[in-house]
Amino acid sequence: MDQIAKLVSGRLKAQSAGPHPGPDLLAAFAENALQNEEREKLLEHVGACSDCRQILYLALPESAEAQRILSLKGNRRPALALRWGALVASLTILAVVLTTRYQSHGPAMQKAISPPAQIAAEKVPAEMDQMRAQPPERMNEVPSKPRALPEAKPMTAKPQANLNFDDSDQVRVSALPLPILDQNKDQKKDLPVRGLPLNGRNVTELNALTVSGAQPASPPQPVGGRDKEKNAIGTTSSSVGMFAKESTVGGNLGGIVSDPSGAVVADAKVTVIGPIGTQTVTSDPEGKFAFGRLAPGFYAIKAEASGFKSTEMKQVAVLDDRTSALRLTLDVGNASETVEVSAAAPAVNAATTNAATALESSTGLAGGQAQAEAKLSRKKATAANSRQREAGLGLGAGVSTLLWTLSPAGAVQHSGDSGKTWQVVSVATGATFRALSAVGANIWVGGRAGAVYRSTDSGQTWVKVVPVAGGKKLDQDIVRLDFSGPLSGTINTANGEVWATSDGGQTWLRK
Amino acid sequence: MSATSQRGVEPTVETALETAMTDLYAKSRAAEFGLGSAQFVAILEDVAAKHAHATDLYSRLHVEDLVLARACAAGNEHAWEVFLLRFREKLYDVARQITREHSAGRELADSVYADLFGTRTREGDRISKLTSYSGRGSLDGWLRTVLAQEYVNTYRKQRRLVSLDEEEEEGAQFAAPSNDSPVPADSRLEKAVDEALRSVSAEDRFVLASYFLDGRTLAQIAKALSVHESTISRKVEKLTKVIRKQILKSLARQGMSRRQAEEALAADVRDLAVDIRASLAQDSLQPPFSEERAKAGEGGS
Repeated sequence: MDQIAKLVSGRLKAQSAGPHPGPDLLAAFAENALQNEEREKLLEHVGACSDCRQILYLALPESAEAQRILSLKGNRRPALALRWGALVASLTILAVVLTTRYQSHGPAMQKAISPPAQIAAEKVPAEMDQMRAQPPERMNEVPSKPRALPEAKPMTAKPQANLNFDDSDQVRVSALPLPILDQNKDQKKDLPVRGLPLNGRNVTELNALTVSGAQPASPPQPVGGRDKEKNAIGTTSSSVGMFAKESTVGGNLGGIVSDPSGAVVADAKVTVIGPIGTQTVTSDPEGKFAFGRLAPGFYAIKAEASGFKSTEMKQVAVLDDRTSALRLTLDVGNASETVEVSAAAPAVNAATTNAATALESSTGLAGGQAQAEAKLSRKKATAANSRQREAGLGLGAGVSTLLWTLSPAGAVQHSGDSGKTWQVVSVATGATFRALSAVGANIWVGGRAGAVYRSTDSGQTWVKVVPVAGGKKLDQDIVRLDFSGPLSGTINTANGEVWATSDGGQTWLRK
Repeated sequence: MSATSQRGVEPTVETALETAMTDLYAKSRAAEFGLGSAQFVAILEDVAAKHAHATDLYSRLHVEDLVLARACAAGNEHAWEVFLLRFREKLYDVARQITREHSAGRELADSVYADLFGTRTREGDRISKLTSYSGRGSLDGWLRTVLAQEYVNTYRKQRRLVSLDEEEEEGAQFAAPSNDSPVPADSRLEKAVDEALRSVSAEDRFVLASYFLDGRTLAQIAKALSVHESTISRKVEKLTKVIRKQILKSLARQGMSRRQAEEALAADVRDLAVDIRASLAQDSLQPPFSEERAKAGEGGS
C-alpha cells in the first residue's frame, strides 16, 4: 500500500493542471452547486493542481460533521437478525450435543477434558483446587454408581457445577455429582405443579397464559440446584438462560385494554402495525392482549371495540428480548372516531430469555406481585429508556446508532450500519436540502427558499414547517439548523437571519 | 402545427419568461439597492455570457447575493452597509481560521477587503473584485475562496524570498549535491502508473491526490466532496487495490512477467524519474491568482 501510495503520489505530482478555475467555480464546487459536466472538469483540474486543492480545503467551512445520534433501532433488518439467530442456534445445538457426548464417556475422558469445568476453574480457581485435592478413590466412586444418561435438550445446557449461596451472600461452586442430576430431574418435573415462585412470578399462572405464537420452543427449566429454590434460579440464569437468550429473536408487546373507569374491555380488537406488517389479536375476558416475537422497531398499536372510540398509540418501541407493556384506554364514543395517544414509553421488562415469563410479567396484571411490579416498571419507564440507551452504547442490546446526513444532491439519507450503507429518506418531492439537525427521533431538515421539514419518528413521517415571525414568512435559503432538543433550536439563513423556536416550531422569533 | 397556433405559443413563452424574471427580480431585492429591472437583466446576461455552458443557470443562481455584490461594486452605500453587516466579522473570522494566526488573519482580511472595495482604477472607475462574483455559489463561500486564494498567493510569494539565515536553518546551504541525472528507473513502470491513473475517474484522482499527495484526512476529503467519511475510506482502499491491479496488468502487457512486475512495484520510489523540478516549473508557469484577478477585473473570471 505504501509503495502504491508513493508511486501514485510521484506520478500525480508530475501531472499538468491547465488554467486555474476562478473562485466562483471553486466556491460552487465546495457547495455542491455545480452540474455534472462542470464538476467533472473542475475535479479534473483540482486532481492535478495542488494549489487549487489547497485553496479548496482552506475555504471549507468548519461545519459540524454528520451527526451521530442514538435512537431506538427502527430499521434493523429482521431477515439479517434471523440469519444470525439461526447461526447462534446451530452453534448452541452443536455445543449441547458435544457436551452430552462428553458426559456419556468414561471418567478418564471426563477428567481429561471438560471445557465447562475448565471455565469454572478459571473463574474460581480456589474451588477447583479443592476439587483436584480430593483423594483419587473418592473420584473413582462416581463412575461405579449406576447413572442415567442425561436427557437431550436441544436448547439448554447443563451446568457442570453447583452454585451454592451461603448466608454471607458468597457464591460457592462445587462439582455436580451425577446422582444429584437425577434428583434435579425429579425436581424439575415437580416445579410447575408446585407453582415454584420464579423471581416473584408464579409459574402456574405463567403456563396458563396463552399467547399466540409467543410460546418458546423449550422453556428453560431450573436445573442444577438442590439446596435452595433460589439456587436453582441462579443456575438457570447462569447457563440455560444465556443460551435461551441467544436463541430468541424479537421482542414482545402486551398489555391490557380498559375503559376510562379502569374496567377491562374484553373482545377488543388490537392491531399492531409495524415495519413488517400488521398483526391483530382480540383481548381476552380479562382485557389482556399480547403479541410475541415481534421484530425490534417502532410500532403503532390500535385498539377498537364496539361502543368505544378507537385508540391509537404510535411510536411504541419493541426491543430485542424485552417485553413492552401497555395500558390502552378506550373512551366511550363512536367507533369511527380515533383518539391518538402520544407514545408514552411503555414499561419494558428487563428480565429476558423466556417469552412466556416476560409476557407474564407484563400482562399478568391480576397477580398481586406481578401487578405491583408492572406499576413500578411503568413509573420507571423513563429511567428504563435511558438505561436502554446506555446499554446500546456499550452492549448493542436493543439500541442502534442512526447516522443522518445529506447527499451531494441534497437528499436526506440515513444509515443504520455506522455509515457503511446509506438509504435515501423521502421527505418531499423535488426538495433539495442543505442543512440537517437530528436529536433522537426528531429530525429537522432545511433547504432552498425556506423549506423546512420535521420528523418526530426517525424519518418515517415528515411535516412541512413554515416559520413565521412578525408576519414575515421564512423564505431564505437555509444554511444551518441547530436543535439542541426536540423543541428548541435555531435556523440560520443564507442572508444571516437567525430564526429560533422553543416549542417545536409552533412559534418563531427572528433575530 | 399551423402558423396561427405558433403565433399563439410565442407570447405564452414570453409571458412565462417575463414572469420568471419578475420573480427573480423580486427575490433578488435589487430594488432595495436602486437597481432597476433593466440593470438586473443586464447583470444576468453578463453572468450567462460567462457561464454559457451551464444549464438551468438562472434558477440555481444566488441572485440576492449576486445583486448585493454588483450593487457594492457599483458603489451603492446601502449595499455596502448590508455587506459589512453580513460579512465584515465573518471575513476576519475566516481569515483567522485560514492563517491560524490573529495578526496574519487581520492582514489577509484587510488585503481582501481592499480588493473588494477596489483600489485600482480603470478609466476613472474603481475596479472591485466583487464584479467577478457571478452567483454560482453563495457569496459567503466565494469570499472564503477568495481569502484562501489570496493566502496561497501570499504564501507562494513569501516562499520565493527566503532569507539566507532561514535557508541555512533548513540546511539548504549544506544540501547534498543534487543528482541532475537521476538513475532512470524502468520507464515502463511510470507508464503503467500513468495509465492506471488515467483509468480512474477525475473524482478518484482528486481523492488519491488529496490523500496520498497532500496528506489530507478522510474527514477533510469527505467534507470537500460532501460525502461521508467512511465512503472516502472505502474508496481509498478500493482505489489502491484497483491501481495496483492495473499497474500489474499494464506491466504484463509491456512484456514483464508477473514476478518482474511485482519486483518493479517494490522498487525504491526515489529511483523513479519523476521530475519534480520540471513539475514545479510547470506550476509556476501558471499565472498567479493576483494576475488572474486583474484579468477577471477586466471582464473574465
